[in-house]
Amino acid sequence: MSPGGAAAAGHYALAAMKIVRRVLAALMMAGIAAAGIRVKGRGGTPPQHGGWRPLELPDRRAS
Amino acid sequence: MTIWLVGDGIVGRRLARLLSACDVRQHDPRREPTPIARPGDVAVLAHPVEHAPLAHGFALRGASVVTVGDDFDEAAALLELAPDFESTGATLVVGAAMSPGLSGLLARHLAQQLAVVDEIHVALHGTAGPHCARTYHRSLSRRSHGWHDDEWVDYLGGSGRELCWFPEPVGARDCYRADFADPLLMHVAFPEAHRISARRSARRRDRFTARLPMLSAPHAEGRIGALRVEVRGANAAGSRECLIVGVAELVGTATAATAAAFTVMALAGELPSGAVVAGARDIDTDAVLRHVESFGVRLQEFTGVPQGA
Repeated sequence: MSPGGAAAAGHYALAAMKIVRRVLAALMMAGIAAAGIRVKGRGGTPPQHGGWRPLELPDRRAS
Repeated sequence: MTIWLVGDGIVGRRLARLLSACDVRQHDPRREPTPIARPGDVAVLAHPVEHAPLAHGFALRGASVVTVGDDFDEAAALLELAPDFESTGATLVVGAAMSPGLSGLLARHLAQQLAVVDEIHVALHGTAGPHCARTYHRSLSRRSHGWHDDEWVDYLGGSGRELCWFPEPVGARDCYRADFADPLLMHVAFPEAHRISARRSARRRDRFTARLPMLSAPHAEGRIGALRVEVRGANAAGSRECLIVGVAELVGTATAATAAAFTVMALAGELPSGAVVAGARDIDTDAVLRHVESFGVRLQEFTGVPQGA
């Protein structure tokens, strides 16, 4: 490999490492944020009102 | 008293099972065009071809008839047979299926809670057997009838998209206008309502291929279907109300349960003579619904958007 070719390969390797580091940093930050929300969140309660409920028919004809 | 069962598809077989405690006999109009029924018997027509000629044959014998079908023109033809049944004191139940049928019963149940009924909107999801699937396929390409501001309006089948929420596990489905008998029979039962519409769920592929022959043979039976009935009106205090009930069930099962409920009531002489439609004032709707529930169909009401405590 010529000296110029070696320099270009080194440049590309550095750029690739930079991208990898950035991706890892972003994933780490996302993980920290998710963990914070997970620990701090209370989970909530399922709906208590509304939705579909079994229909109650009257026992006998009113009229 | 005998129950004459015509049709041995999905609905016919389930009807035979639900009514197994009674004297049920199969009648095949292809082999025996003239029924041998007697006064007091009940015939359940759950076969694909025209119902009106056979219903007329049973009327001449003094038997009551329960029809399972959703064709608009067929329902109109059946309603014209009312005098034949009145003259013999027999009953003709027009449209004892999931929709029409169960839809009318549920609409009347809701209407009983209102002082004024203005609008009735029905949405249906799913099909029963292969014939039902073919009818559904055709219904999206035909003119669909709707009662709008006190007059009949013909809409293009497959138009009028509306997102309708059915009971789980069906959930939300896009529904479109289609050609079936529910608006006609609802109008007979609720002449005071100003707007009546009926829609069926459909996918983009269903609407795109509706005008073509069915590209593949229909399934032996559809999956879980659903029905949603919405009644709008005013309560005694004059405030606006919108009440919704629904069902999530196999269409064949819900249809068989509705037809069986009407059959049991006709056998017991608890239905008036002449033509009867589901939801009419002169039938004990809650009693029919109790029979439907006893046959295993779970009725549900929508009580508002789900909210936390």
